[in-house]
Amino acid sequence: MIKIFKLSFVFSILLFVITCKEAYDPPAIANAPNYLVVEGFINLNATTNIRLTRSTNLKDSSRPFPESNAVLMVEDDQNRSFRLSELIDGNYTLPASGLNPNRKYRIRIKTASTSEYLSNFVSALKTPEIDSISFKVQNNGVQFYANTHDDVNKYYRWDFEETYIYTALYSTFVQYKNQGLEAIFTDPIFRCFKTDLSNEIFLGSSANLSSNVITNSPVSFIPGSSGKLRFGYSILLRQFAMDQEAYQYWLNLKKNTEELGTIFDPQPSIATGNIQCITNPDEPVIGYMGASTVTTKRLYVESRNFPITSPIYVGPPNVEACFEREIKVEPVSTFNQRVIELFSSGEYLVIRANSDPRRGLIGYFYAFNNCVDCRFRGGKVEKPVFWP
Amino acid sequence: MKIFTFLFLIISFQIQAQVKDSLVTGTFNNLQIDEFVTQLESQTSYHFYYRSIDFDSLKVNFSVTDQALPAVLNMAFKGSAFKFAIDGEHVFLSSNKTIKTGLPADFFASASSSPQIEKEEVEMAANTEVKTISATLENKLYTIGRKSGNLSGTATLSGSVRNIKSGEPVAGSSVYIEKPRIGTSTDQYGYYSITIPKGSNVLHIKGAGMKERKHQIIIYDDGKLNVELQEQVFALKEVVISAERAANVTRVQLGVEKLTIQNIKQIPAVFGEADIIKAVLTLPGVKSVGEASSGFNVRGGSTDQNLILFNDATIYNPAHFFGFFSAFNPEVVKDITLYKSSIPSKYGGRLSSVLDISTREGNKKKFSGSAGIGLLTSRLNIEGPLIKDRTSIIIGGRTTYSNWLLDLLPKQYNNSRASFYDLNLGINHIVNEKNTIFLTTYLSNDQFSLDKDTSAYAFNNKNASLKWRHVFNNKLNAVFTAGQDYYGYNISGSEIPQTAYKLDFNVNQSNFKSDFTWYLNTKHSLDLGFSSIYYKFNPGSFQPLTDASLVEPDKLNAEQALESAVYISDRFEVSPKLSLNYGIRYSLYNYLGPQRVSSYTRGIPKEESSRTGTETYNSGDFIKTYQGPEFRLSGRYSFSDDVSIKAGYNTLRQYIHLLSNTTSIAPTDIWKLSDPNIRPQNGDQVSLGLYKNFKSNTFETSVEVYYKRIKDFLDYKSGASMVMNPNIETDVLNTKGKAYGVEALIKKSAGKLNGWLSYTYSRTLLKMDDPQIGTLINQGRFYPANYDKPHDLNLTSNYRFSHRFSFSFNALYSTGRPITLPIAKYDYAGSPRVLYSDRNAFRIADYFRTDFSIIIDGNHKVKQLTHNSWTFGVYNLTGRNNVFSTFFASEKGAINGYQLSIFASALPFVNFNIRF
Repeated sequence: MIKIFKLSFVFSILLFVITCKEAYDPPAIANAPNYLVVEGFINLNATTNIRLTRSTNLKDSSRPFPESNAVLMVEDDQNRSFRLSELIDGNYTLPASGLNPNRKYRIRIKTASTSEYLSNFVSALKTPEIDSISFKVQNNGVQFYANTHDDVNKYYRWDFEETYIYTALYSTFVQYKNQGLEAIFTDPIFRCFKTDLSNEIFLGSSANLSSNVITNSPVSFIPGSSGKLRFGYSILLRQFAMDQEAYQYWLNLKKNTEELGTIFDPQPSIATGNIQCITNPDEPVIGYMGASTVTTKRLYVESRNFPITSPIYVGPPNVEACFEREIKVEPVSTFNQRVIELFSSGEYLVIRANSDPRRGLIGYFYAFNNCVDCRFRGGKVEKPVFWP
Repeated sequence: MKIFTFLFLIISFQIQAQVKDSLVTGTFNNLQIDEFVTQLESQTSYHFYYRSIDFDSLKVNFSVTDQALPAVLNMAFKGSAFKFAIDGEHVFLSSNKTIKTGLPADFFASASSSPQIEKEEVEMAANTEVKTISATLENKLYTIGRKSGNLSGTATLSGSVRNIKSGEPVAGSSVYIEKPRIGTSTDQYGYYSITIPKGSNVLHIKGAGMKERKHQIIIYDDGKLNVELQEQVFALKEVVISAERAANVTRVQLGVEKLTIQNIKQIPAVFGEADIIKAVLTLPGVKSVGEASSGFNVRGGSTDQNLILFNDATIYNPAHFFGFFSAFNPEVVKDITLYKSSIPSKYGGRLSSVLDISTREGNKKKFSGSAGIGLLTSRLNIEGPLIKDRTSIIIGGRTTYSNWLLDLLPKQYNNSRASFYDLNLGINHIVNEKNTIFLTTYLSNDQFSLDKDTSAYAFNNKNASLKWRHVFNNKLNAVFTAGQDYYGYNISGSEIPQTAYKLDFNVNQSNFKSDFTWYLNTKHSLDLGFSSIYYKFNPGSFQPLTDASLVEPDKLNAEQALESAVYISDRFEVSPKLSLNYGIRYSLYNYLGPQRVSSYTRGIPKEESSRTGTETYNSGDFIKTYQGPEFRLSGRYSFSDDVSIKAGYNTLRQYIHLLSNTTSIAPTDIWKLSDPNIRPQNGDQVSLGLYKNFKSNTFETSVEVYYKRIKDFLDYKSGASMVMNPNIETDVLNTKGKAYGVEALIKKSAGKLNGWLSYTYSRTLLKMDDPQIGTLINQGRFYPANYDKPHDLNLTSNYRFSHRFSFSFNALYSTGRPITLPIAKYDYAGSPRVLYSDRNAFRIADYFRTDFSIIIDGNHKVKQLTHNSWTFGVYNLTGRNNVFSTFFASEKGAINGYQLSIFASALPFVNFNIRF
């Protein structure tokens, strides 16, 4: 059925020639509501992680405020309860031990401001294994698909962790150290491994198929322009079984936040989850509390499997373009002083020496640190254990 | 001529009758009138009076022996229109009309029953049976009915008004006498019936775009008079359109808007083709959600609350190409009438309005045609007589070649294909004076295929109707209509072989109705009848497209229902100033088996979890019956000829629903019949209007106010999915609605400059406050409907510089439609996401657009092979980016707001039209 909704999206493309899409700044919306956002699920086979935040004003560029000092209890339908322990940033955690997949579970939240929230009881679902992750090269990118089957479950959600390699623009052969410059033989900050979490909602359903088989349900499209596919790519897919109600919630959330902008759109609407504020029933609560096991699968694909073009270098966002500058050795008397002034702050990094067979060392090329040190884009230079 | 005739009548009055029995003998060989008369005068003592020029077509060719003069003249004039009258020794010859040798009984009011006149009467053969007279000449005196002395009381005159050139009926023309003021107008078949005092009268006939006619008549008894009108040839100074002037003031109904195709063709339209639906949108009280929307909203009603009748065939989807073109070929349309408030009791089944589109019957005199070529579409229309003056045929077709536009799209879409066509066929056959048969068929087809998705989408309208119009007598006539209507679409997708599918949806209805019009007397005329519609909806079949597909075939049960109604209404002319129209319609709806119907726990929202069971019904079972009366009342009080006040109240019921999660008519909309779980919608409306015309009806002005209530209007739960949903009742909500507004209109219908300016203030509010139905919307308060646009200003104008050159200009302004905006953001599933406001709490920017077009006609020589015209224009002259929708999308972690405009720049167009 999703296909049909997609279809309406494509119709709008027909009108591309005569339509115009412009940025739109909504009128300032004062007194933005500050609703509680509950994210996470009750995990029956691993650690349950639940994060509490508060919604923020649209124009507020800061991260959502975490909701700290709340008391969270996972309750089952036989009056047993398990208290989550608080980590930083509104994260709360509970080990899986003691939870029974045959029970029904709900969550009770008491915030520091004494508001109390309670989710509906949900049955714990057993998520089947992921049969395989497949992919297809298309539109100069790679589309990954999930495949699974089960006797019971018809609705699934996926998220993933992706790990990839990227490089800085310039390799460095000289390093600023001890207020001087020294040569190095391997560049330790050129190549980085980066792990990102998915930020889209991927849903699949076999509800209208004769067997509960999920075949090639799209999970992630990686465009070649992202540069992520240049040196191999590893995806760790996580699969969650859902019931129909949870599926509707996620579908609605996806429709309201990811699929808008076509001519035949459904009206956006408040996504009502299964959590209520019991101290103030009119207060909306964002989030849906499900309970299931989770299954995972990792796939590593070598870059030769991706016949696509990737950019050599993708810089970190919001930085100036890279170009080489040079610090001259002349006048020699001030060279050391100039080196310290230039490189001690770490804003610039040396790339290589500029020398001439006749005149010898003329100077050193250098560039902004983010053009030389891959870690400025958030990756780590250490190779993860799962990377071949 | 008139004076001449009367002079002789007066003379003859004083001469005693003196029958001469001199006989005529002779052989007349190809004689002209003068020679013939000379011979007769020489053989008898009669003296002849005639105008020889009137008889120039007469050739006398026979021989007689010892015959009396009347017999000789009868032979001479046999088969011709020539008549004679004998008064003593005086013989009066005339063409068409017999000269009365007696004075009409009321010629002198005091001597209204003079016995001697009776004696002098010579009754002519032509008058011995009631015969329909065709009136083409103005300066003739027409006698209606058998002459008698009794001239007290009234008599009913009926007949048809037709265009002299094409033989097509002229609908909506006024037929009236001035003293006393009694008037009527022709129905869509050009038929009229008027009851007037016996005696002499001056009958006026005014038709839209036609030369006004006056006929002297003497009516003795019920009779018929067919009138043929000539098209107005416009003098440069007094140009165009006198469409039903004064009708707005004198008509009893409120909220009736009528446009002829000539009006519609003057309105600049996108891509240059006259567009019926877009023309309707220029009328006060009619709105649409935006430019790419198929439907229209009348006085706060939703798009499915309009009954769109195309020659009595119900059209379910009035659009091509998702609303960029309307589904009606302008070449075959005659006129449209939109009923917004006083909906005649013969119509029912929809809450908001009736849009009655009537097509032309086709030229009954000669074959002709027209063609138009535009940037995206072309159309052709051919019409003509199959049997001259009796049977006409009209065929219209339209097609698109928009693929060149698609080829301009970015690469991944330029394998897309979109096309549509529509075909109209109309046959009209006059069996005899009393019976006419009309056959109308309509076929439309739209197709899209999109390479990207390897999906294909198609929809069709198919309609056929057969009408039989029977005139029982002067006072009673009837139309019997049988028809079959179909609308369906299918969608297929084959991108992933495992899920390749084909989805079909269609609605069918068979209908029969009979409508009687009974002109009871001067004061009362009745409309009565009954109708029955059998619905069969196939709400969806979802099938694997290929063998490899894993799609499980699924077919929702067909739904069937019977909607029947009887109605009667009376148009009561209380006095020349006060007129009433009151009627009642009783409708009965049966939801029929076979069907499986779910039942739900009472008192909690209908959800899968609250379903208590499913009951199976067999074919022919009456599963659920809804019924109720509908009242249609309106009245008019005229203060003077050009000022009137009107009031109306009506109630309506609607048994079918369009389910759409979007604001306009979209490809995957579902029509749903009322069933045990989904109640019919019903509504009522009260309205009041003030009408005043200025400068001898050159300017029409009106102000109408209305207040409307709607019950059981369907809105949707969040995330509701309509496609292939066997339990739609779990996804919809019953809401209450109210709508109110003021509509003001100034219309100038004559002169070089004509057009109209309308302003509407209106609100449409909905409310869902029953927690037993589902989650409350906006905490149970009233919220604006999607198409609630309070202010709406519309100017449509045309200026005719000369016969060959005219200029049209449109300007539209309206408040932006309501939208639901994001009000906060939060992090969820790895991305910032938005939280939405209360439903429809905000509005998009106001809408403003101006268009112009120039129509250049070729020369006006009557005798030439083809008449050509060009239309040039620019749509959205100011290039304003009118926002169609705003939306917010989370794109790789960031939330961006966008607004989407359609036709975001000035769009020039050109069209070439040929008439032949």
